[in-house]
Amino acid sequence: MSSASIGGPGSAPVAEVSTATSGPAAGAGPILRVADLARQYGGVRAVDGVSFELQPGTITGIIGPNGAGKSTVLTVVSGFISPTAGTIEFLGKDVTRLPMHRRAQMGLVRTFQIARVFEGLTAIENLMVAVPQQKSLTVKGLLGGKRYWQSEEKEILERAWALMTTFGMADKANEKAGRLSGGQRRAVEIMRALMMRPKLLLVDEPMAGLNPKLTRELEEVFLTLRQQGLSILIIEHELDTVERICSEVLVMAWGKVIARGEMAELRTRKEVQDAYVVG
Amino acid sequence: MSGVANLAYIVVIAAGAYTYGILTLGPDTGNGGFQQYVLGYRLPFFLAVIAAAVVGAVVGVLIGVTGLKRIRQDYQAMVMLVISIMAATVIGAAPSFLGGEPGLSLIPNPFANLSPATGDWAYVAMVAFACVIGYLVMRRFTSGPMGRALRAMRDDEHAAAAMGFSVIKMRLLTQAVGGAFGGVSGALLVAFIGGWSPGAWAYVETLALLTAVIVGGMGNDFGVSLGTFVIAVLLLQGVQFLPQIRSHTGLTEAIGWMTLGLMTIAFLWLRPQGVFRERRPRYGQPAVGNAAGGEVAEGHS
Repeated sequence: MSSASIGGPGSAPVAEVSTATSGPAAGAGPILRVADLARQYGGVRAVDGVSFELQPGTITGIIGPNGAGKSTVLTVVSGFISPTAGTIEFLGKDVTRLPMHRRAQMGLVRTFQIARVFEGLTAIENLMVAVPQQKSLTVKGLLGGKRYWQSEEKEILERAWALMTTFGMADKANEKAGRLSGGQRRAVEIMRALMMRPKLLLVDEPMAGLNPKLTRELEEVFLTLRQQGLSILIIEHELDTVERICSEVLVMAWGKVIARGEMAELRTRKEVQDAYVVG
Repeated sequence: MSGVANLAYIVVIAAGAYTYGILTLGPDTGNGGFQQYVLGYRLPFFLAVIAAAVVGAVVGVLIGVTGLKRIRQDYQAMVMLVISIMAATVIGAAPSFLGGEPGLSLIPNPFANLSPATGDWAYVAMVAFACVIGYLVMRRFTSGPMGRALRAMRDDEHAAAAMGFSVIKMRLLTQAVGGAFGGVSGALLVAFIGGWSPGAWAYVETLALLTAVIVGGMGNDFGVSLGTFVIAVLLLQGVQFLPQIRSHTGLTEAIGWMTLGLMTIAFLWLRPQGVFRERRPRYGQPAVGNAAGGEVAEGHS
């Protein structure tokens, strides 16, 4: 297996990436079920009756031309905006009306199309902050002080360093995230999401702006995470990447899913080709 | 710290001051009945201060509710500024509630039984002690994981929510804590100066506090404390000791406010991070088999 070194040379093998997820085992039913999802902006139906299911431990891709509604689907599934119609079930629970932070606490974690790091924090702090429901953030934690949460903080720090090392960014750990390059910010955002031990990771164009080498390394990271049981829903324009890592692909155009299947087979479908040419 | 430019902070200070006043003045029929207000108890000093903290926290949360809507930070600041102006107008227009425009006077000083000089210095000592305690309590919120979380929310509330943080809950928490601090400061202030009216808590007072934060350094506890001392104490109180110019009464006070405005503009232009910029801790890499690692120093990241 090749090594992942998103941030630079000298990284540990990608096999060390570990989210220690506790997602449902394969065959335990879909991890995500989206039914008749719609989102309307005024008279524009950005998403129009989208339905799909994601199985545990799979990487599913969403592709389609610009304006197809891909990012809107991801944004609605994450809880960032509400759907106009339809339902979203995560781990068998209806989360359609749950706010984004509650979904994140359940393990439904997203990254953004343009990497959004906490610029005033250092890179490693960006990771350390991404552990929901820390003891230190409770009233007990505030009253008890450092002695109450010190051991938890050490464990968080250790995990954060392990990820920084794996992604080849150990030398950037104490640098303000606002000073990082685009690729490094992207890596920080993905590591931050992994710190949350997600069960389903929603990633929006993670390869955008990355060079081919970094793209392949990030693909390896995703494949390793999948082996560890993490489910991933990925929006990506780089179709070769989609073909290499996704077991199933949804093709969207005009707010609808117009085709689904394996990427190699979808490339030959006329409606998919038409969508890219016309859409 | 939490990303809310609270331009209504003076309102929680006012709430604390009024609370202390109406809980220590006794019935409004006293002193010849020349002033009107609700309640009118004679609680001991410390109980009244605690009540002021509670009321400050509640008012702080109520103000914070206006920031819960998904509006941009600059609009939130405008909303809060409007709240500040409205609050002073409403209180001033209701004389039977908290004394209206004339406000409250003869508010008791806890050291009134001492000689004036001794009482003043005793008060200084008490306030200094309160400042130290306040600083230590504030550090609980601004350092460590809580400070990290609040800074994350300030930098990008949507990304913070995507990390599982309830932005609303944390904003209200900071508003409550900040409100409690404001309530106590209002109580301590009014117990010393003995009177309080809408003129004492005009919105421009909040701008003075904002300048203190800008000059001292946003996100830096020591910087903010120093900024408060320099702006609110040395500058705005210090001008009172300048000789008055007979032909232009009030000019010395105006010079204080003009200096404050110029300092705000100068710092925003030339040193927006303030005198003491925000510093983040540096974390050392844990050695193999050593889970400790940990924060190694307050660094320069």
